[in-house]
Amino acid sequence: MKPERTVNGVAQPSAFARAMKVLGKALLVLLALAGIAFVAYHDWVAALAALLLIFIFCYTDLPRIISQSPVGRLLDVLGRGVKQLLKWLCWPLRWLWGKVKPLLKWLCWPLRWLWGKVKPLLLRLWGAVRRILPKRKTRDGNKRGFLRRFFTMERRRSMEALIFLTPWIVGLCLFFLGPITTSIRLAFSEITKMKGFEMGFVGLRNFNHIFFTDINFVPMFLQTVLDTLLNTPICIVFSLVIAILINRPMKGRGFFRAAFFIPVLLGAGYVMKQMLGMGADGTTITTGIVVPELIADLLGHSLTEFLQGVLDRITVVLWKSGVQIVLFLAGLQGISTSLYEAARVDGATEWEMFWKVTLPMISPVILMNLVYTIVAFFTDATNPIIDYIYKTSFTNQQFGYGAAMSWIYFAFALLMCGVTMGVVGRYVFISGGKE
Amino acid sequence: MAKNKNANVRRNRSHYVRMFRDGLLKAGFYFLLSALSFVFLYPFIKMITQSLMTDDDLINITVKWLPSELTWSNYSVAYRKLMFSRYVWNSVRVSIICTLGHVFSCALTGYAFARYKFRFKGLLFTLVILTMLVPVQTVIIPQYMQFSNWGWINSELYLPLVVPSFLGFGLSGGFFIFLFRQFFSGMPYEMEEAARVDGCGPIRTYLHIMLPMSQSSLLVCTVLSIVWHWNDYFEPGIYFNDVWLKMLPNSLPNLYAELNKEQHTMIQSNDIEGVMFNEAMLMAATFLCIVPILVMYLVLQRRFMEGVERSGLTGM
Repeated sequence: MKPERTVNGVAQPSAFARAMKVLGKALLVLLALAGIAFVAYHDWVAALAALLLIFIFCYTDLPRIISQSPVGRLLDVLGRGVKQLLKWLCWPLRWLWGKVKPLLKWLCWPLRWLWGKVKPLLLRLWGAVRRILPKRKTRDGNKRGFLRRFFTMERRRSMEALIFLTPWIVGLCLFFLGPITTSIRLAFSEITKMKGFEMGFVGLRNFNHIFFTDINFVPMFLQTVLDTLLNTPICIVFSLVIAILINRPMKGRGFFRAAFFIPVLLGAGYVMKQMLGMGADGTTITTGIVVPELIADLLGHSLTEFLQGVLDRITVVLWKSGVQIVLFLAGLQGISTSLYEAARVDGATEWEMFWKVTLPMISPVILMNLVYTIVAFFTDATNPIIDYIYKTSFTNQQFGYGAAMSWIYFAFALLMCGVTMGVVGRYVFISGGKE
Repeated sequence: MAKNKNANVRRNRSHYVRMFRDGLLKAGFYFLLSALSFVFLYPFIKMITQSLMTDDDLINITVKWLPSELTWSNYSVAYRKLMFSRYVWNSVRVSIICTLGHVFSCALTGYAFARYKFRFKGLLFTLVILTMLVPVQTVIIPQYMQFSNWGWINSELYLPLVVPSFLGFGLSGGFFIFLFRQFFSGMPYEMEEAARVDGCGPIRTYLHIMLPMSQSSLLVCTVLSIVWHWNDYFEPGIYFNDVWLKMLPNSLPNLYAELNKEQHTMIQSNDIEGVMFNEAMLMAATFLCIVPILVMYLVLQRRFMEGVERSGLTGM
């Protein structure tokens, strides 16, 4: 019998019980969703009411008030009674387990027998190894051998670091440095034999081909660059605004936070690609937001089209900015409230506080987010150019050509990140100086 | 106090004006947030409602949100077409094992970078950042060649995905290393020093002192890693082309292709017999694909957000 885990003398639920609790919660959530869907089919007003009720229960003090009222106490007592009843009703199961457990224990005797044989052997082996190994303590603490003098405290500490770093360094050689060098070599050569991937050096022919023969690559590349240049600021601005909005104390904060992260769940994969690619009536799903006709008449055709394009872009970009919002939220939480209090005492308005406190304090996060966003948009799977590279290298089996293209692509991404870091890095405010 | 009382008593016109203005601002604020969250939930809601539509609803323009009839059969068709029961197991297995690998290796590496001094530390950390920046597409070709030389293509143990993740690489491994490094460097040194004085070795210090304190970051890493692995279709699509080894996101394109094909044949031969595969079923299939991670996210959502805030990820 394992001793029960206790905290301050109160017995804690077992790991299994806790897991069951979480599972139960998940089931309840699913059930509620199904129920709402069912009700929505019959009566959408009732569905809205149900949603409101759930909202109230999750985000207000109502459950606490109810549980502390006499009705709640009565329910509590009733619930305990039902629990006891259920426990009592389960006695046949417990009886059965009492019968089965000794049987199982008995069935395991070969294992126990084997362990009895093996254990002394292992102990003897370990003793032999210990005798061979050098003793840990020296006879004289002051006299140190060469090795002792060599392994100073610092050296030993860095050896310890090596323990932690070993897996990563192995990975670095196998999955990063190796492929990168091969990729560079591949960009200047051509696969001559598919079996074993023998390479033949061709010089700059791949690059020549990309820039002067291929009619697809350069326009696609420019389009991607333009998209990234346009999308990144939109993404950063919107996610900062949203993060500031949901960082305020308010009702339903949890719901809004969860909502803004949901597209990330869909976002990375094929699901989103499909949602962007097609809707029910053959149009893209983003056309849900349309410029109102009144405004469209005022602006004229070309301007409306432009505005529509921006709107479409905003929707797509917003869906992809879940991670950025979360990062900004974390950054906003990191700003000490005393700064705001000081500003308020000095008579600053909200607007001034944003420009003089929030923005400087959050500027490192902005830089980090900029880099993250540029990389994310460049490596985004819905990118046409990535499809193109994939097709040339794997469908047409032109590995060298694909590698050359991906290197141009990567070089440009790196350049953009470098430029951003250089330009924006000047304006980043670092409190307390660097380490 | 006295001043406060005064303010309470004197309720002149400007007071009411201010109250009205504040109320209006608040209402506007909530309206803005609701509108924004609708934009964010839009694909999701659209997917669910569309997945329950009948053939006629899809064509009918008046039916925009609520289907006239809930057709649950869409789900059963999607389940069968997607071969959900076959592929979900592959997906679950791979994402859980890869996540375990990421948690293990990235926490180790992040700890080393946060706490130890060693030669070439700056260079190595630059390499970590570089692994974050290099797109998968640049290294995927040589990696494919390497893996096919090792015979890892179509391996039943999913070696091309699992092994890199256990060594701190794989899908955005660099990001997780960065996350753990930031978190560990924000922790106080005193605990470790106390442990060291009490005779605790480095590994034991890490396992018994640092890891239990870093639950929030571990949770963030787990959730993000599971979500990204679950949705990833680029790498698995290249390394596994065996029908049995495919994962859920990789079996979706087949359905898409089938949809196009069926539309084509419908136009050509005009035969509407049996179950036609339509967009509603496709949406049902898409929804089925994300249900497991959605449930996971809903359960863990609050602790995940807290974890992100606590992880100190943004303290550059």
